[in-house]
Amino acid sequence: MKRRVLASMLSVVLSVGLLAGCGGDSGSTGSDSSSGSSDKDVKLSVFDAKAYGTEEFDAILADYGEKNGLSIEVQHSPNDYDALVMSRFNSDDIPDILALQVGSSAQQYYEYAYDWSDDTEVLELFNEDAIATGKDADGNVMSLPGTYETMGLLYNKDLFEQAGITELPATISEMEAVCEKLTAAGITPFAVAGKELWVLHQLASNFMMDKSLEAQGVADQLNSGELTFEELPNYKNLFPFLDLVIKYGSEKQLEYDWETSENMLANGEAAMIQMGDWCQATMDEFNPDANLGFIPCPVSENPEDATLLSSVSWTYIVNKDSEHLEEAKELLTFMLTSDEMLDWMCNVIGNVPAAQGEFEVKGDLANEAAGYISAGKTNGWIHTLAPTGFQDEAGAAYQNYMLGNASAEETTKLIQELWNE
Amino acid sequence: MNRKKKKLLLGVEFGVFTFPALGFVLFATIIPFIMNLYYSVFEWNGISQEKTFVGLQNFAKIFTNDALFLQSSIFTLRFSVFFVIIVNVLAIAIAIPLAKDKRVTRVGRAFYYVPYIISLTAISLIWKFIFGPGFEALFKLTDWNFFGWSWIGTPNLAFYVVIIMTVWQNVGFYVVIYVAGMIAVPRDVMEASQIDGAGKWQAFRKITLPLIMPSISICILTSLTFAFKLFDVIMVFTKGGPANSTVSVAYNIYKEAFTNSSYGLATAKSLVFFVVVLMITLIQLRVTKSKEVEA
Amino acid sequence: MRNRKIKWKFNWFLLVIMIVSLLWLMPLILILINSFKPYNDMIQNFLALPKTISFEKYIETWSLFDFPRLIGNTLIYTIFTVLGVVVCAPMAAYKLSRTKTKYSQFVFTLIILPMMVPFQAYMISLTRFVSMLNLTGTRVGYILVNIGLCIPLATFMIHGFVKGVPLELEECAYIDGASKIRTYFSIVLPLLKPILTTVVVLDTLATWNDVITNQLIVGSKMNAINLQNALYMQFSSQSADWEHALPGIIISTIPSLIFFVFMQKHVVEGVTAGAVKG
Repeated sequence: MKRRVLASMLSVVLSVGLLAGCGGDSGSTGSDSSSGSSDKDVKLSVFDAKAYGTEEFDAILADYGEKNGLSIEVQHSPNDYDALVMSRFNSDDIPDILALQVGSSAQQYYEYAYDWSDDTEVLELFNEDAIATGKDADGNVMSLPGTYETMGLLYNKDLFEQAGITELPATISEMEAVCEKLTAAGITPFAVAGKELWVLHQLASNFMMDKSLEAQGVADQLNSGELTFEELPNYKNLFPFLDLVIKYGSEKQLEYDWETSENMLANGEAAMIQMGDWCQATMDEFNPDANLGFIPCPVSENPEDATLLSSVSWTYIVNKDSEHLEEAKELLTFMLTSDEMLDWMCNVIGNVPAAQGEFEVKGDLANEAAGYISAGKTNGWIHTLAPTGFQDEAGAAYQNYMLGNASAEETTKLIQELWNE
Repeated sequence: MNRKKKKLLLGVEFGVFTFPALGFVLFATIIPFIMNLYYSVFEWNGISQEKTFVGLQNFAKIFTNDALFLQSSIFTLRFSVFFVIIVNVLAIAIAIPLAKDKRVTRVGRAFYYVPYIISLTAISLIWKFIFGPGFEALFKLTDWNFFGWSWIGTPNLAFYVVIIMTVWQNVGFYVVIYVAGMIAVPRDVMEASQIDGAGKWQAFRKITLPLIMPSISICILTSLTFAFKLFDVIMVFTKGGPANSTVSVAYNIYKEAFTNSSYGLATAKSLVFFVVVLMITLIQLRVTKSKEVEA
Repeated sequence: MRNRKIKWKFNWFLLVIMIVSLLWLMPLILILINSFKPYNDMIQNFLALPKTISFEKYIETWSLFDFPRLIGNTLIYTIFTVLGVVVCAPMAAYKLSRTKTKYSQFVFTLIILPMMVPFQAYMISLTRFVSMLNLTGTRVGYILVNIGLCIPLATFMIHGFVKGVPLELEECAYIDGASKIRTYFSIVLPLLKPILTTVVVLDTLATWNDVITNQLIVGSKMNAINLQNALYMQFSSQSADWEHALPGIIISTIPSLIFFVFMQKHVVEGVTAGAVKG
């Protein structure tokens, strides 16, 4: 009995050893791009959160690695991003290049980041406002911008045409009128992804905007206490707007996640959702014939106040303690400004790059947004400047309001407390 | 001299048998958890090299200023009671006919186990459709209000959504354990009782139940600890919603650590939580151990 | 007369349970039929049968994700984890159950303590600890952690079943001159087969399906990640590659199912053998 057990255990170990040998070096998974021969000294690791276009991205980087004698290891990790980044930092496995959400999220990592403030040649390759998003509290440029993303109310142009709507609503009463027309034509006006806390938070940020202060100004004044949510000019209009969303959308909007919400818009089951141009790829998969566009969100009775929010979304830091700092810096510059990568940004993932230049982007939404941006009709993102953890709690508070469990005043008070924490 | 030597030998023997297991457990859980003790007295965002010492401030905050933690504790407790009772009763009921060894019962057991094996992301996709378009279709068909409610969008109903999903996914696991326990019940005892004129239900209560106490003990403990640690379904499906009504303690701790970047507070919560769970499980263990019958 | 009545009733109950079990099988069927549909079709007509059956996505998933390597990794992890647990847990459970001292009680409590703590509560501390030992990103590190995470439950389960091994058998063996270790291997262990098999099944499936521990410990080393982890990466808060994920899930679930059905036979065999002997 004993001998048999030993024998079988031995055979298991042997076969596993063989397997291990087999599985060792064969090819690579979709998101692995360790390239080149094994005698390259310089290894760089890139930690990214992109969900689309990863194959092309990896291919371009592998190519660059070959040409420059580097071995580049890329990890794409869209899911549970925060937890994974945090665990890598705690495992002392800090990546050389790291993609971060712009704003308070990125700020947390700046103490590990290389300061680009003196690298003027590199900084000149980008738009000024884009560079501004990567600055820390003291004005040093700690991270470099990737691409712009625009968010707001997305609408289905065909449905609007069907309902006979010719002008986009710019005030809240005009919005109500539009909803009436849609309902009369048998179309569900709203399908907001109420299950997603970040969607509600982003929607609310339209109403937090004060165009005279711009995003940073609003955030700064909220932080210092000069401004409160009650005093924000259009914040109180968020609640009647949410009432509209409930009234003119299905009651089940609190069940909709982003997938359901986007799917309904693409398939003509609803006319408006809150989302951004990052969903273009998904929309194309759902319905390549859908005609989608942006409505600057009406936030008051003044049409001038309608907001469309656009900003650099992902920003990249270089580990200042990297073993190969110069190569890492060059790699990042390549990633954000080279022709191949710019082409990738425009045509593969369909986002406007933050680098200087005129770009033609694949995707109706991004192109429409580009129009608004160059006309100066957009504002920056406040939601990323909120304190860490604010987003989810605020989203929950809005859900509570939408369920009818809290009044507008109670919610505003709660939001204020959450921001102050 | 001899007795001392014998005791030493016994001790060494004990150590040899138990140390490997103990070593692994220390490595993977206990030492990290002790590290939590250290972090709980700091204010730290989990990333920075700097930590600020705040003493017992985190603990004070938990008991005085954290409504969400309290809410999540109540939710977790409520969930645990429902889950443990429902899943065990259901598992025993399912295990009874499946406790014979025929091809049919083996297939049956495999069926119940299937959800346990499938990745939770796929499971949540399925439930999304059942509660969404599925219920809508059933509503149109039957016109029962039951199907018309917004199950995932209403706080009270969302609780039952979580119960349904977790019971459904996990019952197979408990069925397997109960089946193993029931099969071990000696046939002759059962037959003797039937000859003596005992009814089915009586036989079950007086014979089967006591003899499967080890299984019951295992299942109650594992279902209880699973319920306390409830995380995956919340993380993948309800995300704590709607309006934070389905936030479990584990989820709250996770959010505190990774979304709010307050690792100190999160570890403090985990310590408080651990103490409470420990007390409850020790009580439960004592109760079920006393009812066990040795072979 | 009475015997026949009981038998008939029993079969009726079985029938009900078997019909109900289809509700549990439903997810597999649903995932299967949806794995053949394009993204939009899946969302619009989830419950419908697919319009066309093409294995194109399956083949794409297989090569895109480099399934052979993923399966290889996952197999290594599973085999070694289970080996580790099967060696260490019964030894400890046996000794702890037979030794009735306060010290033994303490060690037992210590070993099952982790069952009460949610993993999320200490996962960052664990990653720090693992990196202190320079085991981050290594297969060995992951296996060691995984064994450590499986042992509490395994020990607990075996501990309960040790009671079912009659003390007299062991005492007979000592009288006959067998050493403690010999007794353990040739008498106790075989009698624990049913629960050991259950533990093997549980831990195999748990390791096969593991995502979070794999992410944390192995994390950045793409060539050492396991199956479910790779599939999980196809999702984000704003995108979901179901067209590859669903076929991937089907491919990865098939071995688990086969394994489970196969092992079920052994669990029962072991139990009935033990019952007859006891």
